[in-house]
Amino acid sequence: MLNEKNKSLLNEMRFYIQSHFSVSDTKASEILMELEDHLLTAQQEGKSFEQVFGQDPKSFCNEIIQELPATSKWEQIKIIAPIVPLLLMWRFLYGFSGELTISLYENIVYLVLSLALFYVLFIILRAGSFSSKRNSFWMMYGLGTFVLLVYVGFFLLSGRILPASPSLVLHDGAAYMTAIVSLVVILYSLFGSLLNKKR
Amino acid sequence: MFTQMVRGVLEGCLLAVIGEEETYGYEIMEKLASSGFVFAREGSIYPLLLRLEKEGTIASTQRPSPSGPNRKYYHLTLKGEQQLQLFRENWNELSQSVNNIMDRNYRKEDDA
Repeated sequence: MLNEKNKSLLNEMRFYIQSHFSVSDTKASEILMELEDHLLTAQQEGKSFEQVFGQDPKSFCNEIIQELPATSKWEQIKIIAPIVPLLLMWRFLYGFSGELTISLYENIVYLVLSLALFYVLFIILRAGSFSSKRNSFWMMYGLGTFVLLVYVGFFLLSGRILPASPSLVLHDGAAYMTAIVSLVVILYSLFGSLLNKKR
Repeated sequence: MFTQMVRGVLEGCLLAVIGEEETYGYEIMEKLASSGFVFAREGSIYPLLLRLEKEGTIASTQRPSPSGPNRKYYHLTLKGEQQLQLFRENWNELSQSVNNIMDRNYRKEDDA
């Protein structure tokens, strides 16, 4: 088992390397597995994290990223694609109220905005990797508020700016069914991996 | 220039170590260190291993390790063996030339 310091620094490296969507995820996982194995053996022999990865782990990670093969556009789409239905489906939970209105333009803008936010968040979090805990805490707090404000702003303004039609309105049974299916899909995507592990 | 030279030499030595027998990252580093290579950080071999694998001079297989995570064992490909042979020849030639010059300088200093 890695000690606390090694584990947390390795996790930082993991996030930093894997948040570069331009590199192959399979190869990135492979090299991270090797680095973990190396660090574990080094730790057992009484060596420090710095002896293995140097004083500046960020620059070490950059060297690794430079040598990792680039990912194909198809692979990038495969990573992002599952997020799209999830982003939409939690909005369909509103169907539990008995009436669900799905407005085309509002949903398109919402999707584009969410994906853009997602991308910006990753870039900011990546830039903040390897900073001290205190900075990270304030950064998370700031980012959380920022995301919240963007969404609140969007929902307040979208009704006024964007045309309401074309839109799909579902009542009673149809609305409940849509909401239930959405809930199942969301829960499965969140906890499905746990179920698979138990089996 | 010095860094580039060391990197080239290190690549050749990595091929030689992997050519001896199938081996993994930590063991490669230990073998290089026991031969006198000094590492500012041990992890430096990994970007090189990635590059060699990308170029197709080495290949790997994954097997469970006693420490837990899977371990990647490297071996030379045919291209790697040819590359190693080429490095040996070049190195012999280069080291001989360098030694000749260094010896001549050394003798001159002695005479003076």
